[in-house]
Parts: sequence; structure tokens; C-alpha cells
Amino acid sequence: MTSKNLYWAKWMENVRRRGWTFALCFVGLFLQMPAVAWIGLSSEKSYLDSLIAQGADSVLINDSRLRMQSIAATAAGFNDWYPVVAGLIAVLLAVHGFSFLYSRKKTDLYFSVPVSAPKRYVLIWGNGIFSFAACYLVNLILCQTGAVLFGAMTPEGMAQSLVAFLVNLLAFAAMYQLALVAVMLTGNVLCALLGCAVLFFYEGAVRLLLSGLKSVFFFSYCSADQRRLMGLPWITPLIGFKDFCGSIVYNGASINSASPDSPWCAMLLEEVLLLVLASVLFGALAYFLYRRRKTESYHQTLAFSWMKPVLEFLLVVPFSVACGLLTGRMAQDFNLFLFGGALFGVLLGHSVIRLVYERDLKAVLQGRIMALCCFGAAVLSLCVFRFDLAGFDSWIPKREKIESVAFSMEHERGSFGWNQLSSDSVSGGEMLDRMECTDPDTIDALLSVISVWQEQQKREESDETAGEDWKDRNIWVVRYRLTDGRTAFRRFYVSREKTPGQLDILMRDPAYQDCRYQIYEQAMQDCIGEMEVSYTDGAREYFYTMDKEALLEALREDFRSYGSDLIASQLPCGALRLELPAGKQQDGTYDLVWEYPVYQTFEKTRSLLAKNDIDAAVTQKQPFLSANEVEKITVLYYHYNDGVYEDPKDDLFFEQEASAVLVPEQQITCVFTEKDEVEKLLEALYPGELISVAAEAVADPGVDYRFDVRISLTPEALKDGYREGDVYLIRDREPDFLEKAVREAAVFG
Amino acid sequence: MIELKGLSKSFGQIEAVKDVDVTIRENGVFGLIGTNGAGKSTVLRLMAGVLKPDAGLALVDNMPVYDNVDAKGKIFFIADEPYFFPNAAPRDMERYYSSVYRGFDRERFYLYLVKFGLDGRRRIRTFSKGMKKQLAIIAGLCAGTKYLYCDETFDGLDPVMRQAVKGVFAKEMQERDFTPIIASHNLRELEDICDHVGLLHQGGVLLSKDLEEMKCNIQKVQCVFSSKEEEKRLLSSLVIVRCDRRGSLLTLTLRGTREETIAAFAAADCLFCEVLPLSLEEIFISETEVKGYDVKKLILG
Repeated sequence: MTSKNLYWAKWMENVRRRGWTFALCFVGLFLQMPAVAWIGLSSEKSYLDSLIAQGADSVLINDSRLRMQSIAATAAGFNDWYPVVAGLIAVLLAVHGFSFLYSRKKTDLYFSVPVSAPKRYVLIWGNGIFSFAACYLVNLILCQTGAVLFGAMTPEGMAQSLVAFLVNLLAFAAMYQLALVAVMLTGNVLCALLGCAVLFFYEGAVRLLLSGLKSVFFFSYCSADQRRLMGLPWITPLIGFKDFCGSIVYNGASINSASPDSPWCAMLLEEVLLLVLASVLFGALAYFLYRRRKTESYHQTLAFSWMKPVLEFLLVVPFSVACGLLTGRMAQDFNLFLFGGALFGVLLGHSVIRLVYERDLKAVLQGRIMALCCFGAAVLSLCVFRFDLAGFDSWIPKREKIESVAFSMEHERGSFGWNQLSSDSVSGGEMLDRMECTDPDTIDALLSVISVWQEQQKREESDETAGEDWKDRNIWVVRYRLTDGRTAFRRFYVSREKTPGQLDILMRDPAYQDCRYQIYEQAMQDCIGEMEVSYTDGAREYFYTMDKEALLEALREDFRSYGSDLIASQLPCGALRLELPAGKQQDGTYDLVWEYPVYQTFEKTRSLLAKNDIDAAVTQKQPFLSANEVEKITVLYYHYNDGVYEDPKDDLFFEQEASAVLVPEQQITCVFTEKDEVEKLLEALYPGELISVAAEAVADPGVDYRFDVRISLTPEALKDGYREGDVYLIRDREPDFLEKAVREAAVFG
Repeated sequence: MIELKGLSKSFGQIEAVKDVDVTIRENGVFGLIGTNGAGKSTVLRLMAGVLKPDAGLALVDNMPVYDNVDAKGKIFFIADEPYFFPNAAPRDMERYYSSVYRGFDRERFYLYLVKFGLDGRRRIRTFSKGMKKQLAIIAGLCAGTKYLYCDETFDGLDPVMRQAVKGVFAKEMQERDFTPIIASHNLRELEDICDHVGLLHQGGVLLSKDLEEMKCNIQKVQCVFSSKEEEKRLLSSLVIVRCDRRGSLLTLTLRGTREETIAAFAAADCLFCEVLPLSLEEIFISETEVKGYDVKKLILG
């Protein structure tokens, strides 16, 4: 047995010999922690001083102080750069600490002296951990000293940084253990570094490749599924911890989570558990490999020769699949280049690996059977995705196996303004996370919609974009929660033309509406009293001054009828605008605005608006302006020679062009001032302000985008509060004289 | 005592050591001889517990040496290319060895450094090959271990230093329980120091014997016979290992004790007869030739 004193003597000896790694570790952490903090704090302090000198508003001064606390907390806590720096140091300490395994001279010394293998391992391993922990602690003290000197230190910040110290140390330990696995598996420094790169990034690369393959070959693969794949816990500590650090946001010295659905405490706990698991797992593996590796494996590529073909297979197959994917995407002849690219990937990957294994150019020609196996596996993998052998796109769960569904348009329109109170972002993906619909009729309608799309897809087997030619199509995403606990995400085309009834059921589903429209959320009800509510008919804005809660309740009830049938059958007669000023929000920076369409059929809402003397809401005006209020209407038409219109008949000069009459490219301007012409034109016009809340990409509002229209109001109208906003021509309502007038105004060459 | 029992070690397809059985007694100098690639270093590294044997056992005082701290505490291994820490000076190495060998004699280390003319503060990387070997030998001597393994250690030493080291070995052996085991490809180097030798060839042991025992059983005689008949008569009665003739002068390597040989030649009618000392090389030639090997090719090239 070695006495305790001798142990520490050995340990000190080890520390002395590894002084330069210690120094490098310190410098790396210094640049990442105190240096960044001091620079940031110094800059912010100058700004703060200037604010104070100018006697600026206390809000600005407090903001600046909070920013200083954030800078200090971020530098001493969780930040994006820490995993990268710690990962590099972990590799350095692991490779340098155990590099004696790669040298015969060194093993002759170390393995012949009376020090047990476990003790030697613990000594070197502990030295690595100690070096890092000591450097981190010193830099943390420097960081906090800077924070104190700049006045950015708070007790909360101090506590956060101490918690971060422990978690960061755990993350380092996990990365260090993984690097040790690479060190124990390999036989020289270069291979150890390559091994570290492979172990650190393999999981990420495979997930990316899998996601890439699905998104390229499966139409029904949606971003929610991708998020789920990338959001699965990472066993690789570098990627996992970087992901975690990226989701932490500092507000002053307080930690906030970037995602409101995942509190930072829960995320931290999950991350700590993962890091502990990874540390234990990789630590045990590294020690096992250390004990199992033969002394004479120095200078070899891999310490365990049986691993060579396994490793080659695991590296070459994904690489060649990725090559096939890339070349296939770049080339026109998809299949040929897909498999040709895979072949190129196999040849390249096999050659590089053989070169690394044997360090001999001739070795490239060896192991042809393995290369063939890799190519076979790559082709098989590509075939599974290319020809959808697993039936990913055609899969629909059986009705009885569906517990609940959630669905949404893939690209939700932000202007509708929902979820602003409870979330920083607005996306269809969130709908899938929050919505739970168990209504049998809705589920049946949903399955029916998807079946119709899949039928279309089957009819067009070779066409990868089945459904793209559907009228008023839209891409929707669905999340199935199955009775066996599994969750599946899919993407599909929806067209009101093909499944009108089903789409209406989906859009009017209460669970869908509750998630989609924030008027149904308690948060909205809580804030309605603080909001400014107004109604616009597209020409004027009217402020609602009565009971806002009652109006919200009325809108909620009326909105239950808001479905695709309503959208397709009429255009909104107005829009209700709800605005929550920044000053009335908690930590608000911007005014939050919601705009909801008001249809003729929204009886309860319109009745309340009428009670508030908003006549326009009760009496629908068609046209929305009277001719008396309009001075002139200017219509612009652009004639292009290169036929920009999808339908040539949309070109007003199509017939002239066909009969070889040259009509030069030009902007044609027609001004209408005659009262009867203005009246007829007004009947065809629809306010742009309402277009943004109309149709919702479910139906075509019938806007004629060929014309740009400007309305000039009379001074009296302007005085009365009417606005000269954007207006659109509705094609079905256009008067006959319009096209004629435009043609006549053209200049012929 | 060090015992190697059926020791085998392969590196991939190469069988470096095959079924080696050797016993090394204490308080003698054991010479391990073999050509380059014969497996000397591998045997020493197996004996030092650096390598794990594929088969067989390497025992140091009845303890398996691989992964055994107690057994390793009894040995000090000087590799053919001893490793010193980067930028280390002899005193740094002393610090390290002091931390791992309980019986490391620091005073003696510095004493030897002075005796051998080595600067304790000078960087070892600036030392010559011979100086590095000297340093390794000093460390080995001062480690206080019972066994000292030297792999081609005398290679880089000049003759004077070689003699000095041999002298120090002899002194150590007198003073304490000390057994040097020296591996070399050069027979002449070990001639005047070894008590026992083992000859390795292609991973196996050709022979392992006490030098004295070998010397006692083989004699070298130079003689001139009075007649061809007398020569024929005597030679037919002797076990002749080798016979060189230069004119009428015969140089014979014979089996048998010195007394028997002298008696046999005294009884014969010789014009001239002298029993000559045998070199280790000659003993090996005679011993290995019996086994069908040409030792000149094996050892002397």
C-alpha cells in the first residue's frame, strides 16, 4: 500500500509536470469569464455614468443596471461559450493526462513502478478535474470581484454563479469522461483527437442527417417532429449542455427560461440528471477500457483492433448517406446522383479511414468487403427514405388508437396576434404542444382531410408535391397522441375546395379555437380592462368605451362560428382592434395588438358596438365610403412585356399582343373623378386594413392584384376622421369601364 | 527469485516470446542474451509487469508481477530507452522516484551523481545517451529494489564507465540483497559480470545455465602431438566440441573437467600442451552447437 503522504507526493509530482495544461486551462477560462465580464461591465458602466450625468429617466438607468447584472451573471453562469471552452479543455486534459499510454518509453516507466493501475488512473483523472475546478474557481472570484467593483453584484447573482459553478463543473466532468473514452479507445494523440471529435459530435450529426433525410424525402415530416427529434435529451454532454445554456436567459441576475413552457428549474434539474448519467456512464466506460486496453497498443490507431470494422461501418455509412443526399439534391437526375453520391461517400470515407488506420496509402485498396457492406447499408438507408419503404408519408393511425389530436396551419399568421401575452413567439408548433382535442367529430374530420390528401398523393405516386395544384391549398400540421402513449407529428395539404365541411369542423373546433385565438385565454380576460379597444370599418376607426369585458365575451361567443365556411362566404365588415400598451404590461417593451375580424353574422358583438354608437358596425356599408367623401380614385396598372401573369388573359393587352400590336412596357394611370364612376368603383373596392383579417389563406378573397388603387378623400371627409388607407379591387365587382379605361390610357408604340 | 513459467507473448501475428521457462536466482547477475528481435526486451517487460503475458506467469518472489504493486516494489526496470520527464533535471526524477519507491535513497542518489560527474540541476534532455543511461542506473541502484532489470543498459557506456558500473553492481551485491538482470545482444559485454546466462532465440530459451557450471564442463587446450597415431588415439578418447588446426598446432574445445582433461593429456605423448581460459563466446559456441545452432550467427552476427 502506498501511504497517504506518498499519494499526495505523487499527485503533486503529476501536477508539476502538467503545469502548462494548467496554465492553458486558466487562460481559456479567463478569456471566457472575467475578461468578457470586465469588458462588458466597463462598457455598460460608461453608458450608465453618462445616463446619470445627463439626468436620464430612472427606467433607463435601472435597465442599464440590470444589463450590468446580466453581464456579470452570464459570464459567471451559464453561457453559450462555456461548453465550447470547457469541451476543449476537457479534451486537452484527457489527452495530455493519459498520453503516456501512447508511448512505449512512458509505459515502460509508468507500468514498471509500484503504483497500482487504479491509483494511477484516479491520480491523473483527479488532477484533470482539480486543474479545471481550481482554474474555474479563481476565474469565478475574478469575475465576481469585477462585478463588485463595477457595482453589478447582487446576492442572487452570487448564488446563481455558485449553482452554475457546480453544474458547469459537472458538465466539464461529463465531457472529460467522454474525452477519456476516446483516449482509451485510441493509440496515439491524433487518433485520440479524432476520436474526441467523433464522440462529441456523432450523435448530433446522426440526428441532423436523420432529420435531413426525412425533410427531403417525406413531405409529411414537419418542423414539430424535427423539434422533437432535436429536443430529445442529448447523451453527448457538449451538445446537450450547449443546448441547455442556449435556453437560459438572464434578466438582471435572475435566470429565465427561453421557453415559457419549460421553467428553468425543471430544465436545470433535467440537465443535471443527464450530466450525472453521462458522467457515470462515460466514466465507467473509460475506466473499463483503461483496464482492458493492452499496454502494447501504443502507436496503434485503435487500442482494440476488433473495433476497426465496427467503427468504419458506423462512420462511413452516415457519411456516404449524407454525400448521397447532398449530391442528389444538387443534381437534376435525382436517383442516379443519390446513389452515385453514396458510392463516392463510401470510397472517400473508406479511403480516409483506411489511411488513418494503417498510415499507408496502399491500405486504401484493402478491406473491399467492408466497403461493399458500407455501400450496401448506405443504399439500403437511402432506399428506405427515397422510396418510403417504412410508409412514413402514407401512415394514418387507426381511429380507435387515437386518444387526442392537435392541429394547426404550418405557418400561422402572426398579425392575428394571439399568444402574445403568454409567449415570446407565435408558431404553429406551439399549437401542437398546447392543444388537446378529443372531439370524435373533429378527429373524424381531420382523418378525412388527411385521407383525401393521401389519396391524391397515391394517385400521383411519382409526384412528390401532391396537392400543390389544389386551389387555395394550405399546409397544416397534426399531432396524434395515441392510446399507447406515443406521439406522432405529420404535415399535410388542406384545400377547402376538396374538403369544405371537414375544414369547417376543424376550424370551429373549440379546442382549436381556444388555443389559436387568445380571446379565449384567461390572460386576455385579465388584461381587457387595461386595453384600448377600437373598431374599424376600413375607412374610420371608432373607439369602444363601454364594458370591454362584455364585448370580449360577445366576441368569444360570436367567434365560435368562425370557420372556413364563414370565411369563404363573406368578407369581414370590420375589425376589432385590442391594444395593450407597453406601460400597462409587466416588463413590457412593446404595445401588444390583436385584430379580430367582425362579420355581418357576429350579432352579439355588433349589437354591443351599436350600443356604443358605432353605427358602422351595425349598418354594413357597401361601399365602405360614399362618393361624396371621395375626391378622386387613381388606378394604376403595370403592363409588362415578359408576361408576368400566370393566366395570359389577365393581361389587359393580351389580345393586342396576340395580334402583333406592340404595347410597350409601361405604367398606366387612370384617374376617376366622375361621381358615377367613383360610385361604381367604390362598390368594387375593399379596404386593405380588413384584408389582413380576411380569408386566412383558407379561401380566396378575390382581390385583383393587377391594379394599385389610391383613394383621395375630400378635405371634409379627412376632417371627419376618414383615412386614406390601402384599398383593393375585388375582381368580381369590378365595373366594365375600368379595363376599357386602362386600355385607352395606354401608349402604343 | 524470479520465475518465468511458460511465458508467451504475441504482438498481433508476431510471437515475440514463446513458452519461456527460466528461473533467476537471487544474489547473482543474470545475463539475458539474444539477437535483435530475439525477445529480450519483451521478456524483461513481462518480468517488470509492463506487459501482460498471453500465457504463463512471471513471478517475482512467488508473486505474479503484472498489476501487482508489491511485486513491482521489488524491481526497478531500466528500459533500453529510459524515459525522463520533459524538461526534468536529475533532481526532479529523484523527487518522482522518491514518491514511488519507498526505499529510495536520496542521499546516495546525489552522492552517485557527484561520483558519476552528473549535474543534478541540468536538464536531462541536454545529457548524452551515455549520461542518461548512467542516470537511469543511479536511479535504479538508489531505488533500493531487490531486482534491477537493465535492458541494453551498457550499450551507451564507455569501457571505463562500464567497469565502474560493474564495480558498483558488485559492491551493491556485497552490501545488500541485490540481483541485477542484464539483457544484451552482446556476449562480450556480459562476459565478466554474469553468473548465470540465458540465451534467447526467436522468442524461446535455447539454454539457461550457470556460467561456472558451463566453464567447468568445457576446456580449451592447445597442443602438438608427437605423432599422428598418438593424436588419433587421444582424440578418439575425448569428447571434442571443436577442433582447429594450424600446422601441427591443434586448438581443441573439449567436454570434461579441467582435471580430467589435464590427466588425459599428461598420459598422452604431447610435444606441447596448455589448457587455455575459455571466453563466454566460446562456451556459448560449444553449448549451442550441441543443440544444432550456429551461435556465431545468433549472437555475433
